[in-house]
Amino acid sequence: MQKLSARQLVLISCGLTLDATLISIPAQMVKVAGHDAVFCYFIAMALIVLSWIAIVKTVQRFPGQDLFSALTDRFPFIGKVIGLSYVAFFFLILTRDLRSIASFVNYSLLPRTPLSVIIAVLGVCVALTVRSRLKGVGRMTEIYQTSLLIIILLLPVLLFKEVDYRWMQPLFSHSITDVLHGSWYAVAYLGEIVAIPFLLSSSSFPVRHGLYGLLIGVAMLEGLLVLCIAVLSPEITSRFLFPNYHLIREIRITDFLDRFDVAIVGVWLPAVMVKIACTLYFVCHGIRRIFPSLQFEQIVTPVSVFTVACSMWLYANYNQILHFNAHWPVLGLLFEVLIPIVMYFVLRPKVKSTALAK
Amino acid sequence: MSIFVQALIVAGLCFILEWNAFRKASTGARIAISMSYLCSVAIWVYVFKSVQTVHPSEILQAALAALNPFRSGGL
Repeated sequence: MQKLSARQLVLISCGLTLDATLISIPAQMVKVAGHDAVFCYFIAMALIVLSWIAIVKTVQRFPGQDLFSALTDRFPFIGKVIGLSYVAFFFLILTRDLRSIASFVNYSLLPRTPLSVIIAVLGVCVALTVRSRLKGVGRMTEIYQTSLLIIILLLPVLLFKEVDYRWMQPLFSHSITDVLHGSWYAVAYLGEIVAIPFLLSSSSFPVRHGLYGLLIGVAMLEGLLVLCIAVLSPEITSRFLFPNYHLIREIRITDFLDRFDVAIVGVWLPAVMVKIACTLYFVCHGIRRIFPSLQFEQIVTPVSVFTVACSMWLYANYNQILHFNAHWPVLGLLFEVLIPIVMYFVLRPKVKSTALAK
Repeated sequence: MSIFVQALIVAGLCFILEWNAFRKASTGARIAISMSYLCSVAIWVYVFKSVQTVHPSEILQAALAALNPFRSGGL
C-alpha cells in the first residue's frame, strides 16, 4: 500500500478541489447568482464535508485496506459493480478535464496547433507521471501545487489597483434559489476529493488532512471568485469562457512583465496535469483492484491512449462541456454524496466466527 | 498521411514501448490490452473520418437533464 506524507495528502486534496474547478465554473456560477456567487462555494462545501467524513469513517472500519478492497472483500459481486461504476465515473472526469485543458491551451495559447496533438501530448505527460505511482504524483504536487497556492495568494496584491468593491454590492440581492443554483455547479467539482479513500488505506490519512485540503482549495477558489467579480465585474465575468485567465491578464506590473499571465499559466498547467494524473491513477488502480490479474504497469499506457481517444470522441467542443456542467452534478451527487453516505450505514466488516461464538 | 496511419503510429508506438510489460502479462490481460489499443484506434479514426452528429456526452446529458432540479432555470 502506497503512503503519502501529511503535506502531500493535503496538497493532493487541495489539487483535486481547486485545479479543474477554477477553469470555467466561476463564470457559470456568476451567470446564475451574480455577485452573490461568493456564497455558493460555502454551501457546496458543507455538503462535501459531510460526505468526506462519512466516507473516511467507512474506510477506517477496514484497517490496512482502501475502499476498493473493502468493497470487493465485503460484497464480492456488488462491491465490484460499485467499484467499476466509480472507475467509469472518474474516467468521465478524466476525459472531461483532459479535453478542458486541451481546449484552454488551444483557444488561449496555441490556436494554430491541432487539438488532437495537444490532447496527445498532454496524455503522454500524464501517463509518464502516473507510471511513477502515487509517490511521484505526491512529489510533483509538492512543487506545483505549492507554487500555484503562492501565486493565488499574491494575486490580491498584484491586482490591488484594479479592484472595485462596488461590483460586490448590494450583497444578498439575488434569491436563495439563484445561490443554490450556483452551488449546484460547484458541488460535483469539489466532491472529487472522495477519490482519496479509494487510493489509500485508512491508516495513511486521518479525516482532518482531507478537510484541510478542501478548506484551502475552497478558500483559494473563493479568493479568485471575489477578485473576478471585483476586477472584471459580474457581467463580464459571466461572459468569459476562462474568467480566471482574463483576471490574471489584468496584472500589469511593468512593460517587462506585460505577459505575466504566461508565467502564471506555466505554473497552473503542470498543477492541473498532476490533478489529471491523480484521476488516471484512480482509474488504473480501480481496474487493477477489480481485475487482480492485471498489473498496474501493464494498464497505464493502454488506458491513457484510450482516454486520449475518448476525450475527443465524447465531447463535441468546449461549449458542450459547459452545457454538460449544468447536468453533471446529478451524477456527481450520486457518486460523491449519496453512495458514500449509504456506504457509511451499510459497509461494515464481517463479524468473525470467534466473536459469534462468544 | 491518412488518419488511420496516424492512429496506427500513435497506438503502435505505445504498444512497442510497452512490449516488455505485454510479454509478461497473462493471456486475459494481453487480450484486454490489445482490445484497448484497437478500440482507441477505431475511435480515433471514427472521430476524424466521420461527421459525428451526436456525441456520447450529449446522450448522457439528455438523460441527466430529466433529474436536474435546475433544468428550467430554477427549482
